[in-house]
Amino acid sequence: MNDEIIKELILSIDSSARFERDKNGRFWIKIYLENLKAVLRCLKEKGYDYISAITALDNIKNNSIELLYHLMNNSPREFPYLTISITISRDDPKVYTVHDILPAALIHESEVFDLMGVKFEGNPLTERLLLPGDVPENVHPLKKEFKDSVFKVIKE
Amino acid sequence: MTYNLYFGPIHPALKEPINFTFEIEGERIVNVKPNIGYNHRGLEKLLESKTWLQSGFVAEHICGICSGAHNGCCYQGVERIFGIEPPRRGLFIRTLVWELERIHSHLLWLGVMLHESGFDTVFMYCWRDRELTMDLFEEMSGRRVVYSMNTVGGVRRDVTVSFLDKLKKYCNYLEERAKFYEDLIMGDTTILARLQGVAPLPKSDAASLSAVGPVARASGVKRDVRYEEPYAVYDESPFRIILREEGDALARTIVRIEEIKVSIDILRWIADNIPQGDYKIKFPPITKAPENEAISRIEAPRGELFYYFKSDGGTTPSRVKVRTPTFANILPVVKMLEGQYIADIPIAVASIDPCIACCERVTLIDRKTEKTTIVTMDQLRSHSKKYYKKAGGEKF
Repeated sequence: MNDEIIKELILSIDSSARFERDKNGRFWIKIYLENLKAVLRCLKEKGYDYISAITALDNIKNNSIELLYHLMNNSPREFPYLTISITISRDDPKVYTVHDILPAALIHESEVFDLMGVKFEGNPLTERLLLPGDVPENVHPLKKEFKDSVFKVIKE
Repeated sequence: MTYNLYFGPIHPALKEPINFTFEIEGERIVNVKPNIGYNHRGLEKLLESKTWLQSGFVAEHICGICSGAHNGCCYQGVERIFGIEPPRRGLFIRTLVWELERIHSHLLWLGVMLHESGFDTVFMYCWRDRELTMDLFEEMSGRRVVYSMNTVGGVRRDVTVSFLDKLKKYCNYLEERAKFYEDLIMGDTTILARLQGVAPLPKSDAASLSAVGPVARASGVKRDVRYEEPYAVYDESPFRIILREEGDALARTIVRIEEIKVSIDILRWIADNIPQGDYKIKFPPITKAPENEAISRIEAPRGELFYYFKSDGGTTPSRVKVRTPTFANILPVVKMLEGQYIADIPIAVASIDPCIACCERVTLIDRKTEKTTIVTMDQLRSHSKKYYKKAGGEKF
């Protein structure tokens, strides 16, 4: 696997990037938010054109939201499966869209906005994707403080 | 001048609740706006409140057709969180479930696809052959759909020698049928005219829009988790990736029929090579997990299925993310539909593979006495055979 090539590439953009290789063969990379676009563009030139999903994690302890971009190369047997991680503030969760680099990110970003409330600046899909349109604007069910009234009824 | 055509969420050509707004110019589609979420049940949130062992039982209800894929993929992720390696016999049975499920899903899809193109006889044939797979599932697990075969660290039920013999017979029969369907589709000018060149997805678009599964492979994109990072026992099995270059509805059909053949080869290999030994390891129902995160990916019948787990060291996951193959194929379908005729909408939409839940048994209620009797599938089947014979039909 070409771990070293990826490491060098990302370190040339973000010198403080942190790497971790887990035993299931995946490569986790932590970078700064402002380097996200440059890193993704660089990786795309290396063949990382497939995005599996974007996962948003609500870290209520650190008052932050972590976004994970899961990417795969078009020669997947030579290059590892990557997870790029960025951390943003929980009070005003905002990040730039990457759908101009990876077109498929459009629908994943829209899902994250709907369920976690992260705003993707430049993403044209600004309405609810999965939830009905009449759900109040500040309600995002995957946030830790969200308690569904249906669940409450069942417990009572 | 353009006008809007609203399609779905309830529509005879759709088997799933999805809504499309088409911008139409004459007979051609200019622009498509998909609207999903009619079936959103909040399962990701629900999974956060379930223990590690319970999570798979919730996950398998995400999809009725590929319940084994969801169940297995979920537990594969839990095993990665705990660092558990299931015994080899367990992995073989898991692969067996996945491949049987692929055959059953592809046959179901083939039937629906031919139904949408107006070939209802073959639709009946496909679904009759699919019943054999359902019978195998019933014998193996007791249920036709949502079979809960997997568990953390293996599978919940063992397979018997007589089951494996049945499996071999089933493989022989189904191989013939797959060949029959291939000859039938390639030799029928009406089907060819209906499918060829319809809903095209060029290779560049399939790659950039992250299409998955047979949709990507029919456009020549080499994307199959079994090939990319072989899980369970796929690296030893006689798996081969099926690719077509045309990227139209016909190519998607051929890819799926060829994949049925590959699955048959894998099933035969499993029946011959399944090792003896334990099929699961013990896992207590309430267990604290180490702080960890894990990704689990498998190739479901419709494409890459993605699970992400995060553990904070508790008895339940702190976050579960599920990305189903159909979600990834929404953007490619929008691309396929652009520039197509209104009449081709059902065929293009059908190529994202619809889901229909199916019911095992029916309950009959006598209206006078209000007595209920449960009729099993076998009774129903023998009744239908008798009825058919009485009406003068041939024996099938």
